[in-house]
Amino acid sequence: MRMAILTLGLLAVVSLAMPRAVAKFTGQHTFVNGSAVNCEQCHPDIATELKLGEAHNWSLSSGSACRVCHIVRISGSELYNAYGGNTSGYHAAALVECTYCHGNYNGSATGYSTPPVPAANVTAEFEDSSTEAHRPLYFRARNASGADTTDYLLGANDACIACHTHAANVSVQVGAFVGVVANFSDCPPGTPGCYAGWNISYWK
Amino acid sequence: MRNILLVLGLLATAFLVMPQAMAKFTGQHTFVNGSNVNCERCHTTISDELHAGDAHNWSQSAIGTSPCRVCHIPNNQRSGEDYYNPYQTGVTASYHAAAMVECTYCHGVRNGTSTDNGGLTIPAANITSEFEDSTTEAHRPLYYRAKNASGVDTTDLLKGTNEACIACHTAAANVTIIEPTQYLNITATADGCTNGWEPGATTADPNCYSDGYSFNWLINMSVYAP
Repeated sequence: MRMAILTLGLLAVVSLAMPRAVAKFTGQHTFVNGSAVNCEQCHPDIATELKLGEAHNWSLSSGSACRVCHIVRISGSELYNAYGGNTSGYHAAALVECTYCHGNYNGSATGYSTPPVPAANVTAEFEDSSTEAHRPLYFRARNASGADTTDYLLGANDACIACHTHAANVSVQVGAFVGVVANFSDCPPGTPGCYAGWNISYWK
Repeated sequence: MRNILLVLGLLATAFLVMPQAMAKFTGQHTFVNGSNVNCERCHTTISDELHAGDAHNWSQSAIGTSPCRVCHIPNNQRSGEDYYNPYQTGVTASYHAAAMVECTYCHGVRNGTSTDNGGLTIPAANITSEFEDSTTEAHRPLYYRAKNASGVDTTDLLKGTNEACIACHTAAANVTIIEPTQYLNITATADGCTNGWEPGATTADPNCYSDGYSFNWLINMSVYAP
């Protein structure tokens, strides 16, 4: 009988002390709009990096600067995401190629309160060029031949970060020397390698 | 005989001082329709949270009291789907008063449609598609982990992809991302290969690119983790 009374007493105390039914996680029902999600809350390391750089510097952007690249708002672009509209391509952070903005959209407004995309079509500077020395690196990063076995980043991004960030260790190994032989042979002008009587040839 | 008289006297007194038979609990017999049940009477903390957010905000609902229903008793009827609960005029076998819904139930294929609760409209973004039909969304691993898409995960705390949703769209999650300390290693070797690719070429050795003059560059990439 005493146990029953004690149990009833405990139940009464519990009922007084726990009057509210709760959700599984605290804060689970305070919702944040997509436009107000704080990216750096989960990505503090990336936030720190972005505050250190000369380009894409955090201080040049208001709010969560991640959006400038990862939620593209360049008018007319296929990755455009106006928040609230539907995009079939991504939800919150597109894995973008650097040349998405720095290619055909050069000079465009970003759609954020930032400076416009610089007016240089980097895609054309590589692909329409016959003089750019880094074309092999660019095309290798892009896997342009389709025969490459490792590809870590989208598009040409591997090449971009190799020079424009500190994320890459680059080793260029040039083992060849240029051999030059100039032979005064009184060669006839107009023949290959013949300059003022000198027959000049190269080899590696 | 005296005892019988005493009992009768007590009973008569009892009738005088206790004219009403009582139920076990006060108010137990005043019934409220399901459509009028006040959710926040029990769920006060959730009510407070819903007043604070900038989405699903209590004050923005036209449904009056207990907008909990907008999510937990979805009225957005679609043929063949079982959450619809119109109160009394239909039957739902799957739940009674509060379905544990997935966020993408509304924010998926029903995007842009009316909730049928106070004339509210679901924002026009099919988030299910934004993840599942995407090749560029960076948070796809988080989404699929929350969904337990592989079927092999041992902890699954909320329905569907809700863990991923609340991770960004509420303050209920502590997220720790362990960034790897690693670098991209690029080694470019002049004349390290013979069949270099250049625009217009159809064949090439793996990782072999011509500079357009006389060098074929073997460019290897790997990850360096110190």
